[in-house]
Amino acid sequence: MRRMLLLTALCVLGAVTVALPVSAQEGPVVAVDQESVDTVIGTETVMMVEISNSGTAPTGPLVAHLLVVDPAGGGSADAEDWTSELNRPLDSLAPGEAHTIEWDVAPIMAGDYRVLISVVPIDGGPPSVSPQIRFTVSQPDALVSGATLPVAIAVPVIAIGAALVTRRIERTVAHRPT
Amino acid sequence: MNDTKSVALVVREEVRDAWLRGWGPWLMVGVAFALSGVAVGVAYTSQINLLDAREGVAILVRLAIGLGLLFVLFGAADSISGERDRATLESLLLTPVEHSSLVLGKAIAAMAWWLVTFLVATPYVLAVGTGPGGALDALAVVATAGLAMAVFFGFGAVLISARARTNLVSLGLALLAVGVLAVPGLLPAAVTRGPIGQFILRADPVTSSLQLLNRVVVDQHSFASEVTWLASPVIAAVIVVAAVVVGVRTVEIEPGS
Repeated sequence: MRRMLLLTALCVLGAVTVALPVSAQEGPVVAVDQESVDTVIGTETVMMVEISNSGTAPTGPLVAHLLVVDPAGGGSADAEDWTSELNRPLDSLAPGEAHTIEWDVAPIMAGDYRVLISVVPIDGGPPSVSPQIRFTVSQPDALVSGATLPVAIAVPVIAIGAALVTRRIERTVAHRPT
Repeated sequence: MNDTKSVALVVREEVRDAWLRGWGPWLMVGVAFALSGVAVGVAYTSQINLLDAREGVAILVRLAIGLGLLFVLFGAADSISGERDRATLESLLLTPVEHSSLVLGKAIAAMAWWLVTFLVATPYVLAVGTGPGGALDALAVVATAGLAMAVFFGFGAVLISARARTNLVSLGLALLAVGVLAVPGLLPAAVTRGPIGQFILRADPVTSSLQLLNRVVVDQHSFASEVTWLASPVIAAVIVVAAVVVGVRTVEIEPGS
């Protein structure tokens, strides 16, 4: 019987512990509309970010911030290079209220990245983070125009030709009897 | 000889001097080689990313504008004071051409340096700019901001050259003016964020042009949305042209004597 009671108590404690992070979550909840994105350098992706207040009190003014993480650590993970709007200020959300924002991002370098949105209450309180979006970014061949090398060779050749022609014209004009 | 005809005559002779009898075409060969080196260098870096690719186009555009302005500046600063130094001004002033036409003709002829540099640079800007995008916007920056600055510095240098006693003074003053006008571009971002800083950025034709270049070529804003940055270069160019047309009536063999 005592063993039965102990087992029951452990189950209840376990259930409470598991339930705690959800029931105790206060402040804004951040959700994103995508789990993964396959894209190429420079291509704009629009992320829909929903920030909702699941608490019982207004959130107060918030600021949403874009985070770019490069797990491999080799690529450029400077979020400022990905978007012109690194921070998005938001008005206070009433309990149960939600607000959706569009966030345009354009990766600048090939690699495998994780993108997150963190929402921080300006007046204090715990920050919230969205689920991560996996960005697989590939490099387009078009970043280097195929015309660069031909132009780099052709223009000096044409310029030399033009210089020789002008010299010949000048000699002809100079030796022309007046 | 009426004014327009005499200005055209001076332009024709000056252009011939520089581009048929002079070193103009061979200097453009040098420009072509310099742009080729930079174009290949920026396009084929081992770890290119979009930001570097855009910055590469910006470097190419800056180089094209910079070289064009340098040639215009040297050509224009040498135009009158150079004749003075070579003791050819007196015979030039004896020709049946009004002094004002002479100065205006030399100033217009100096623009040929800009025009030819622009023509040489155009294929490079289009080729390198096609990769990261915005090639036509980059070309629009070269054509407009570059031209406005070329007119400003070219006509300004001729104005200085007409008054300077020696070529050294003329060149020195012209280069000093470029240096002074480039200073606001070196101010730290904290200074230029405020209203006074923003005013300085917009009022200075050189910095304003560079701002336009960075916003359009590097930040990929459309040329149309940033066109207001052209205001001060265009206004400065118009003022200097008016100063040459209205202000220079006579050219003295020895100014101030």
